[in-house]
Amino acid sequence: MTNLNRRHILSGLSFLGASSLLEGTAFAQNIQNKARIVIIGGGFGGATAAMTLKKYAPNFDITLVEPKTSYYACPFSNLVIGGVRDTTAQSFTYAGLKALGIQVVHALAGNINSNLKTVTLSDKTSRPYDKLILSPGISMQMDSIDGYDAEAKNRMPHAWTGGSATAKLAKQITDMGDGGTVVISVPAAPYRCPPGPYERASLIAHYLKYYKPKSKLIILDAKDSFSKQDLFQDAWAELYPNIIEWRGASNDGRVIKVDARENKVFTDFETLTPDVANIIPPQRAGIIAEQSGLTDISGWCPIDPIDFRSTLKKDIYVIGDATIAAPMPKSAFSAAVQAKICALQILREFSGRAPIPTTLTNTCYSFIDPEHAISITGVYSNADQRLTTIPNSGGLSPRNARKSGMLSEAHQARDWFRSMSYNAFGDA
Amino acid sequence: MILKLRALKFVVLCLTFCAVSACQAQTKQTETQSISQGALLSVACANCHSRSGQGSPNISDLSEARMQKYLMYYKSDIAGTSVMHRLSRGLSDEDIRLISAYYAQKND
Repeated sequence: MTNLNRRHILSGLSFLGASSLLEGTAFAQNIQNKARIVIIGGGFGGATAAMTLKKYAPNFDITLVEPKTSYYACPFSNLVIGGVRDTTAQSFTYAGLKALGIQVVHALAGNINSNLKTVTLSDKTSRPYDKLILSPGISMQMDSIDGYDAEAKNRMPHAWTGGSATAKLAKQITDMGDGGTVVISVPAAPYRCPPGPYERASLIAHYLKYYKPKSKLIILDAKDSFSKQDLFQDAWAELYPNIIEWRGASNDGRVIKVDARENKVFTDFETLTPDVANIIPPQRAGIIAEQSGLTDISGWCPIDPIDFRSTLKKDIYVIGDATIAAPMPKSAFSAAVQAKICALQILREFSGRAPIPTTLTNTCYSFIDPEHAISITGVYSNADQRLTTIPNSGGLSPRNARKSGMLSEAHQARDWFRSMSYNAFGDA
Repeated sequence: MILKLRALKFVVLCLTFCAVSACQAQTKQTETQSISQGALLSVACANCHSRSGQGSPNISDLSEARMQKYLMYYKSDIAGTSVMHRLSRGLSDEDIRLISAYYAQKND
């Protein structure tokens, strides 16, 4: 029996009102050859969603819209800034996705019409979709720090979205003379990669310790506590005792103003003139999310975590850093897990079955020096339209762990990066 | 009129029979399309171990029973501090059973 005959019979039954028994199958048959899924954003979230959908449903028409032709990963980029990893190791192309039959369109996504279910791209084409997945990442709140403009972004690179700014920050540090000062300014939560600034501080301090030992690194923090705090501070006390100074919010740590031309960084009560200023501004969801009405007053995207569908627009899903998904952190691992959950629940829906609650996890490693790492894990439930941490699960590497334990975690971290990149970008 | 009704009933019966047969013939295919709880639970494992289990560490040679035993050990070992200990504590016994069954089936 051909698909055509089956479809006719099923549609006939549907007409006669006898479809309930077969609804799921009928839907699956009808949709199998023509379901169109458009994914906006080719980072870990978007690329993993595309790969997952294509592997499970090869007949689906999957389009990934991403303006850049190469992706520069943020995980492990602090090793580049610390001078112990080459930038090229962070770069991935989309050849692996194309080889699987995913259409990769290098254009900027513009207007999303959620009624007509189309996306207009910068190449003037319009893409129809049955389901739209946004993985737009983050954008910087340019107006959140007085004086933070395009010039400041250039001279005081945040290096928080991969790419050339990572190499630029690394070069500023290697160009700095011995006895210089590096400032890292850290925003209040939520922001991408909660332990990232402290891993960065550790790896820059490692470089300074060996190449510019008279130098200092000051972390100006808009918070009074941070991810993996005890573990980082133990490591700093042991490895970089005279190099790293951390100032929390209640110790005048919050940066309120910068002057890029004079290389000045202002807190409430002090003006610093560092040699290198790494200003990481407060963040919100990627620009397209706000333009498309997918963000709430917080600047982030509310979702139903059962399948990461937007609670604001029908048939649109948001995954990754742009979502309101606490207690899941804004990490590449979380984005990849969310991408797969979203993709699989969409496939369930296409086969006529409702999404089901499940268990999600996150695992993030941070290097304290090039050979040793610490980790944080979390296990979450997405039942009852909210994400909750499962009691007595997850947590941090132990304090006072042996060096061998941290060596082993660094080894795991490298495998974690390799595997996660492969899941997202294939052999590219 | 009665004849017409009988004819319609016959058509409906035939259509139902055909459709149910079609449905059964398609069961295998739709099973691969329909996503199980095991598949959903295993996505996070696959971030490191890959969907086939051949990631790192490679778990593709583990039998269902052995994987279940290892995960139950990680979950119940109170003193354990590894990533796998911490993650397994968040899994229910049923989660562990489903994950082990899913990966074992992948390895066949």
